[in-house]
Amino acid sequence: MERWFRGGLGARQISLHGLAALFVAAFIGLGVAGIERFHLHDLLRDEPRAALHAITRDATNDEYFRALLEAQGVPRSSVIRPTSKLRSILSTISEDGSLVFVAPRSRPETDVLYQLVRTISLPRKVINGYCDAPAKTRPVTEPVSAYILYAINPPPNTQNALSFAPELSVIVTPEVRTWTTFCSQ
Amino acid sequence: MDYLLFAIALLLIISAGAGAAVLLLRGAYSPGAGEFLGLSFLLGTAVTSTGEFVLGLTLKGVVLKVAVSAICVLLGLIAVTRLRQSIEFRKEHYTRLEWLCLAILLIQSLIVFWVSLRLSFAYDGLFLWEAKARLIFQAGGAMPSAFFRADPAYLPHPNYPLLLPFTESWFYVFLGRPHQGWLKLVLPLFYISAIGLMLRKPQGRNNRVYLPAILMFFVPVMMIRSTSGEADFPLAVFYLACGIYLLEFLTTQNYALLRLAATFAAILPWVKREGAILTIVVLFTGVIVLARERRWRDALLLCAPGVAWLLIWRLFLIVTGARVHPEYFPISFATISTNIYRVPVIAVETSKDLLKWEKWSLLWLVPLRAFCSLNSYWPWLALIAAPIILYAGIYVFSAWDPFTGHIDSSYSRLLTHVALLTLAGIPGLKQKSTLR
Repeated sequence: MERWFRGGLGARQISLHGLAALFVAAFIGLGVAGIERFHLHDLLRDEPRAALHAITRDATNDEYFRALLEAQGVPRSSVIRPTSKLRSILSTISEDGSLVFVAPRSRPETDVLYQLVRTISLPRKVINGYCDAPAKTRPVTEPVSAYILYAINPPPNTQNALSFAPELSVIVTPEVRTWTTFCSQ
Repeated sequence: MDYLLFAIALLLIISAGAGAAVLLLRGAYSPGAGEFLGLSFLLGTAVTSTGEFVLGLTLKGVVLKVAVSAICVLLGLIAVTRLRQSIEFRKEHYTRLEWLCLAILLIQSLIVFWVSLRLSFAYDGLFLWEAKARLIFQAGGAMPSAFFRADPAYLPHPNYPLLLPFTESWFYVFLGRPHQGWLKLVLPLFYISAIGLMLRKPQGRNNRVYLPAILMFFVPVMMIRSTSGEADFPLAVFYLACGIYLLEFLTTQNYALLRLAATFAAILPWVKREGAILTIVVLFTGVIVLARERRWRDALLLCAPGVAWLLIWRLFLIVTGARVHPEYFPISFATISTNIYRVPVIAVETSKDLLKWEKWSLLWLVPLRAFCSLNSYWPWLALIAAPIILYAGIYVFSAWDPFTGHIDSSYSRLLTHVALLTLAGIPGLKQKSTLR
């Protein structure tokens, strides 16, 4: 700055400095406009409990459940600690067998829900069974310890169906059955 | 109690990194305090993750935790005892303008922490990286060998490197359980490390340049990538470290900087698979410059750690029989001749991504400015342009159908890797010597 006042800078240098200042201003302006598109400021207006949810043990898993089910019309407030509930249910299963996730493939959120259940259930193996595309499901050859149903009602008179979120339930069963039989419920 | 356990886990990482930094610097280079902290965190994650991985081949549970912690404490002791003797921290005198810049950076960092706490991890951050951290935690802090042979349909990408999962599981092991809330405090530390590295004073310069660090906040995707739980932003920070130390070594011939560059080049493939491409770019660029001056010994010193780690990791994957999720066709002339028609499409699609101001603001104009003086800036430009071109070229081998879906879903993320080094070049455009 001092050099400016002392006349130490030539016209070319001043114009270069002006260009540099313009570049920085444009960089910041476009950056702010770009950041606004992420709607991060909406986070300030969220429901008060959202901030608390965000720092819980299963913050991301639970938020995924809430967002995915919300897209199907399920109120966020009705999805309460689904990850913790699923983990508790799985901890009661003593058998080592795999789990089968049974769901309609046609729903857009099904794949992500499967990934979510698969991750929470680690190190157990979760096989995906898609009702409206059974041919795309790998044959289930290993022992199965439980079925996880999404958007499918558990069969009537099922004693051991445990819900961990709206539209999501676990059927713990030693009974050997073909997963596709759930699809007709 | 969680606060304390989290603090212990973080302190052990930083003490391990500080020890590693002191051993690499050997008193031949005086970093600023922010730069040293950034170095300590980055090197610390490398030391702890590698320690867990290597020792985890034979140990697990409490024994593994104690063994890796002991290494961290030992390195911390080395740092404490040698720090005053061998490294003279630069005495910092700040002007009012500098205090203002520091205040801006502090506010920006707090915003990044807040965004990290409020947002969820991205898809890969959750299902790829954090899932592996859980698996490691459940296996007592070591990656089970069966994982590498697992069907990728159930455990994705077993051949991916493990710095991030091991770093995340390090905190899980200390907390005694996986905790996604606490993890959200770890990810922005890479952002803070990037600030520390960008605020460094290159040798021979009196002033510190704040602009790149401040502008980093205004590259819109940086805010999202630095908090998403994906490995791309950490890889960008490691590449930044590797690039700036290599470029400065080529100018100053300070061997402490060569050791840092060579170490970071070796770490890159441990962060993400694409890190191997970045390592090759770094080594190739460095060797070309050094070979012109017939500095073969320096070229060897630069390449040895990176090449060794690439070979060791490759050998490990072969020995364990790690399964590969088939995302690419084999790299062969047959594939190239079959898919050569993709080249113009790839050129158009990737260029579109570079021009998206809502993602990058004016970031990519920075290297364009340097193209005007190619002779002065070519090593820096090579470190930026080569990955951009190589990443685009990889889509010739993509097995996705349509392959443009592969570009849409990944190219923007890959560009993150060179974004920080691009920003770091801004001061150099005024003083060519730092880039030559």
